[in-house]
Amino acid sequence: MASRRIVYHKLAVLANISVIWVVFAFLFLYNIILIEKELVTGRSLLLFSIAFATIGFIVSAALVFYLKSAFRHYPLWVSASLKMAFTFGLFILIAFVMLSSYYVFSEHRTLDQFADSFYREVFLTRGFMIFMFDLAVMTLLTILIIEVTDKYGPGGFWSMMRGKYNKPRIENRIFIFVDINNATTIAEKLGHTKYFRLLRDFFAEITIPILANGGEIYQYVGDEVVLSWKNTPLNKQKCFKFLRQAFFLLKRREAKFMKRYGICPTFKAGIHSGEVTAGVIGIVKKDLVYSGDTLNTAARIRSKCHELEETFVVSEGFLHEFSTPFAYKVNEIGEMELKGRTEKEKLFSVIFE
Amino acid sequence: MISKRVFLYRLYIVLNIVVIWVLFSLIFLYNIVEVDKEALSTRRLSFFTLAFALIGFIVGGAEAFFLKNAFPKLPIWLSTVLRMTLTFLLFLLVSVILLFAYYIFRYQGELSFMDFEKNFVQKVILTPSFLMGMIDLGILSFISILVLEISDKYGPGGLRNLIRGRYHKPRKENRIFLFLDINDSTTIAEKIGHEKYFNMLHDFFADITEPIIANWGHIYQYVGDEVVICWKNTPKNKLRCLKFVRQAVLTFKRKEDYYLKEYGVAPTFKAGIHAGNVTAGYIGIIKKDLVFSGDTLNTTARIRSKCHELKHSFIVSIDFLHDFEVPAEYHLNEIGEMEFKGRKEKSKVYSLELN
Repeated sequence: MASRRIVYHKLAVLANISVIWVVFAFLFLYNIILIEKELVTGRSLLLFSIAFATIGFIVSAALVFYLKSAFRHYPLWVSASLKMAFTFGLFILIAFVMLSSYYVFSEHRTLDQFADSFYREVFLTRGFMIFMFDLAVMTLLTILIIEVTDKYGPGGFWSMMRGKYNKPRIENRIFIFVDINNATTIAEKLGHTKYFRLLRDFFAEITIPILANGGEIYQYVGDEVVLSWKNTPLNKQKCFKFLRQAFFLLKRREAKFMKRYGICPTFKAGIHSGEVTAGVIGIVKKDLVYSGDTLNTAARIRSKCHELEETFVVSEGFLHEFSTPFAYKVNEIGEMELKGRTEKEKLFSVIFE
Repeated sequence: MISKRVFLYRLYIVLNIVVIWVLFSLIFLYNIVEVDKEALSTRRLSFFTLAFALIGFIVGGAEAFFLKNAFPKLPIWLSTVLRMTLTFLLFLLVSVILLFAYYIFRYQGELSFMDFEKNFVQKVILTPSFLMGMIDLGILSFISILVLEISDKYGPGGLRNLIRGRYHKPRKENRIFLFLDINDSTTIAEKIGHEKYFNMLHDFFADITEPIIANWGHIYQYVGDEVVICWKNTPKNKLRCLKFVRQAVLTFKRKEDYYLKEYGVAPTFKAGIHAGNVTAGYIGIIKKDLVFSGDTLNTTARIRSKCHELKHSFIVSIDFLHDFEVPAEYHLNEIGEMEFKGRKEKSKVYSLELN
């Protein structure tokens, strides 16, 4: 069940990688052209680039859509070599099928003859070996790029390249602090390693509703994950949608979690919005950091969930200029003192209807 | 003043970039060799590779040591273009000097600069293979800059751990954690405004990087105004951890004038230190991150918040002091007891005085 947003995200990664393949196709080919101009004419440069783009598209599509999480539990170098072997096999298969159909249909020879000449004329030539070597390097590069974009998160790599946050900016943002219920009890029951796996599965599950609703994962802090949206009425609705989808997704996955861990995680969340200063911090470990009271308040609202025994708590600031959709019920449940301000912030609980 | 550790770390990145350059020089050359076998013999292959390694070393070195922070306020694509232009000029300069030297020493004919210039421009700069070589170099320089940027995102050793798969299965590790927080951050932020405060935060974290790396610390995370630093739990690292606190304090004493001039306030910090078992591993699908999980971290955060309560700058837990002989230049005073999660008895905490 991949939603449209997730497919778009993957397609964007795919398009970027295809561009890189084409750039390198030009580079490889120009290096050849220079030495021997007669061998390669302008027409075949185009053909070569298209061929490279196609191969790049197929390889990276296979990687992005199917293979990405295939060997998740292996070290990167092992999974990279496995993936490379797999894409290599895929490539050989495609080449073989295409060439054999060309051979059989347009030259009217038998498949046996073809197989024989395939080995002699294509497979064992040095040109083919070099080409394969080029492809292997490109595939490795592709795998690394996918890994790196995962580190930055969607859009993170481009905002780094554009230097969006090189100068600190003041932004109005929504923050959701999500926390697993009874984390300490579960950790004691399961043991720390198994608990960590549960945490990993939990975060993996809620990634889908996060992406589907355009949320940004800001940070993992211990057992907590901090999500963030730009503060617009539409995004406020998306926040609510995220809570609902994540809640019911975990319900649907209950059987899987029960089987694996004997326990199904539920979560609580605190929502707040306001102004923060956003910017990149650090020299040898650079990271995008949001700083401001808004975050501290959001964290305290999340900790109020436990105190007030509510699952989802939102602040008055978040509900400001926002008419709650029908499917949600919002009740006032109390007040909270804010740092450096005399008036108190009202708190509300959210219930799905 | 650049410490040995920082230098070694940068050198390590440069070496990695050289490996990438060599790899690509092999690809470029093999693509050529395949087409025109006579043009290049084996001797020239090693020569070509060596030349690429050398250029890669110079370019990578210039990037990592000098150019990296040359344009910090510009967007990366712009600073990349500027840096690439500078590298290009550097390369041109080096090649002109080398060729000129070759010309003077080896050329048997008449020596004249005009002659050299004519030869140089016609025979080297305006040939297509020189342009091609420049494009190759341009792309490789671009890749070098990206590698530098990305390795900064992962932090020292982060990329290597990822490739080696050190944390692909969650591991239990015994680690020292140090939570470091700016004193009176809310008051300062209100006084100087949020934007200026953020700039101060940026400078603060930049200045603290030096003592962290010099003492082999690993920056785990920035959480708001806080930075979490960790070490493997060994007696040697405990010493480094204390040394880090001392050096950081001295660094900010030295820079006090700068901060007062720039922001009207000199930041000081408090820190909580604790050690214990955590589970380490990667978490997340679209935002993958190394995460340490466990009570140790929560406890450290609570020790750090005790600093404020007990009015001490640096507080150390008894777990950290276990099996550790505190050197004479550090003084530890027992200041109270604290409840630790999952323990019946209260544990002692100590304040750390530097003198």
